[in-house]
Amino acid sequence: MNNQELWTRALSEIELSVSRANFVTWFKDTHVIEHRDGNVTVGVPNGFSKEWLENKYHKFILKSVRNLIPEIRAINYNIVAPSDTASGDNQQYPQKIRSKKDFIMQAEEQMEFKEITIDPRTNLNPKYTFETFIVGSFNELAHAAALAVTKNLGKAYNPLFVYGGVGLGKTHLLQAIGNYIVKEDKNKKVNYITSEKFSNELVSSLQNNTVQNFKEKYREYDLLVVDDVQFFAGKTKTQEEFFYTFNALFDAGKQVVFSSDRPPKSIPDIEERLRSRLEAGVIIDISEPEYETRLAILKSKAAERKISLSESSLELIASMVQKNIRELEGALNTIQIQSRHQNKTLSLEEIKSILSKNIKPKSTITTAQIIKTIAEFYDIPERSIFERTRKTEIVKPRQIAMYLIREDLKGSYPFIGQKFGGMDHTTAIHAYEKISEDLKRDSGLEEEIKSIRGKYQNQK
Amino acid sequence: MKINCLIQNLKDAVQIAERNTSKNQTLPILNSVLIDADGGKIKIKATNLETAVEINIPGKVEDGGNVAILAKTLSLFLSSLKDDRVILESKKNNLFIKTKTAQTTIRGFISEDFPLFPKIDAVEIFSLPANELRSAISSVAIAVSTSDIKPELSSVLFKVFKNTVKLVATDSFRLAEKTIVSKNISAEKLVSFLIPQKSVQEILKIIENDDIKFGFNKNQIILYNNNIKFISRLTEGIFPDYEQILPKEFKISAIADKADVISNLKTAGIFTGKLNDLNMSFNSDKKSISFQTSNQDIGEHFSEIKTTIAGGDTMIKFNWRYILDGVSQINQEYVVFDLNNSESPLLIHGKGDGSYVYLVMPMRGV
Repeated sequence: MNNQELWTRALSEIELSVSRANFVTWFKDTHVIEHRDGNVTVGVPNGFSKEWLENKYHKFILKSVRNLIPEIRAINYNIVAPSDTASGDNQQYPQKIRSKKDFIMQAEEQMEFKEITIDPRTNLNPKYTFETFIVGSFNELAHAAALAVTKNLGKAYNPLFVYGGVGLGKTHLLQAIGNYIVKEDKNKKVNYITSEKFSNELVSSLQNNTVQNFKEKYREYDLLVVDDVQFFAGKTKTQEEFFYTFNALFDAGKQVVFSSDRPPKSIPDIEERLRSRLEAGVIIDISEPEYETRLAILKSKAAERKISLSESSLELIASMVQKNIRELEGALNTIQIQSRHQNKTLSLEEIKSILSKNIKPKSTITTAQIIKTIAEFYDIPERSIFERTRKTEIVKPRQIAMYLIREDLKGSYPFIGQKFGGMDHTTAIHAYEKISEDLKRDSGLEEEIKSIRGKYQNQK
Repeated sequence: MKINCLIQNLKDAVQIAERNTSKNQTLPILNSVLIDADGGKIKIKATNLETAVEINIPGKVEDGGNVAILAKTLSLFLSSLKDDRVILESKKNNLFIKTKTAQTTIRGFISEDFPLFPKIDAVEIFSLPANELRSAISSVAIAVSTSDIKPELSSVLFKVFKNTVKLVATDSFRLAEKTIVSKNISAEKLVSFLIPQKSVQEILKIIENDDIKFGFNKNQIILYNNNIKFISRLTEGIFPDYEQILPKEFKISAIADKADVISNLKTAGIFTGKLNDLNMSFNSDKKSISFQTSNQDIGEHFSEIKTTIAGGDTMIKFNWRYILDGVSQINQEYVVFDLNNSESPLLIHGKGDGSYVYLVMPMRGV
């Protein structure tokens, strides 16, 4: 006889000996939690039921249970929240929601603390799931790897390292892994944390003398997701502590997932041993979305927020906002607010003018800025770039400078030659082709150029 | 049972008890108060199975025993009496009341059916002065969510650690935190619990002038002093990790006279639209905060107050009621507004006082 059967049959007997009102009040939401070695534990919804059953009905209960299983010696009562039934009720009768249109509109315009939706147990935001993740050629590899991780936690791709620029969906993908695991198995311990928060927690545990708790807490997870690991840079104590945490998890066969805005070898100021751990599994990058994916993302976001925009408006936004998904969302918000404000659907022209105001104009970079940044990056005097010398430490920066002026400023070869102290345009062609070739083979160079670009583009 | 007491004392106690009864159809005894004279003391008890209250009243016990009477009838009857003293006597399950001028019998319930109160083994965990507790609760209760969808947000969080108690509430649009520091508290470990909104409102009403002692277990809390005991269930669930919501740094900080701010807010409030939206501008050149509202049907309004301000300029839109709620809870003469930009929360607190902070999210689209 299982617990449920035991209790149902006991209740049908008890029902006969107590009044209807008392039965309904005191036995509602009770159940048998455990039956072991002649001891039965009954779960009751609150302290009042516990007192009442213990003091008033204990004899009835014991007698009816013994009639079914004579070996039972004792009955204990424990308070457990009737969580399942309660939450079920709430869903059926959403209480007191003001059905006024105003309220809905207000809820839309009034912003919320976004941290509130985060599950305090896992730090995950439930809105990030695989279902809402849009896959395109720019991120399909990362998506496939993430799925593989969920299918085979800790065994395939451990650790998984995903990198890419801001607003491209790294966090979404990482959290989707976590949400999927928790949904599949409630008992799995999952935690999402940014490297910065890890560091802050460590510092406060050092202050409060609770480092031991801190260590234990992080070592019991089945899946640890660490976002933005580039912020570990320069924090030696945090790196050390994280290194031990990682090892403990990895040795126990637990899954670890990382994200960063650049690959491990381009993160400055991290210890070699930690870097090699980060690189030990699979490293996958997410690049910028192409037009079709941007359009698909816009459509799904618009549907999610019930914004009705014509196909052509969406196409216009997708073609105008190119850089990242967060900006796409921003553009959509701006247009929604504007159109509500003016109480009409915006025309293509209007959308165009709104967006061109908000999109950063292509920054006007000068050759001087590029050269200056390169000189700083390679730590050489600026004028040495212009010198006629074949020293490798000068030649490489010079060639990169020429390459970038050609690529980013669309400078003509003769113009470039002239800029560099009257060199021949063939020198500029050679430099451009050399760097383009090297880029295909040398990912280190690719990273160098990326960070140089990042530097002068951010100066604006 | 036979007791002798002052009507005023009895009436006050019955009124508190009446609020803790329930209109339960299946178990009508939950509509009653129990007058209990066992153990030489007179106690008035009531419960709705969510909260329970027990009040001691002074008086003379001639015979022990108890009686359960419909709360509403008893309370109405006592309010109508003009005499000072009353003699209460139980006759079987009924209550016989005798004053100088009246003799009354009120039908009662079978008092054995009256619910037993849960025992909370936990002794005193900490205690707080009544006035501090009262002001702390009322200053955070404004931010409690009125919807029941997320029970943890329709509760007040109590977080006790070392010598401080923090009370926190949020409805996800705004958040209020009050810190009480007291030498009477010494929690070695961090303990926290969530008291449901209804119980919090009841606590506000029952606390008088004595220190309130707290004890609790996993499911219930008890608050008590010499005269009264209040038991409530606790909310299940985990409160959001609110500390990460509180911004650590601000770009703009403005200090203004509290009375000025309140009167300007109230005026601006007359002209808000359906969404209660108020545009606030922080201007560092003019050293001012301006309030601007407009309503198509009513009109438009603009006003400006002088401030001390540090940091850049910004325009930001709020539900004006949310701002007024927060500013009204400040006890200092000057109120400080700390913020970063039009899409991140505004922090309101008193000048030179970190014990109360009120954080509010703006509305979209300045």
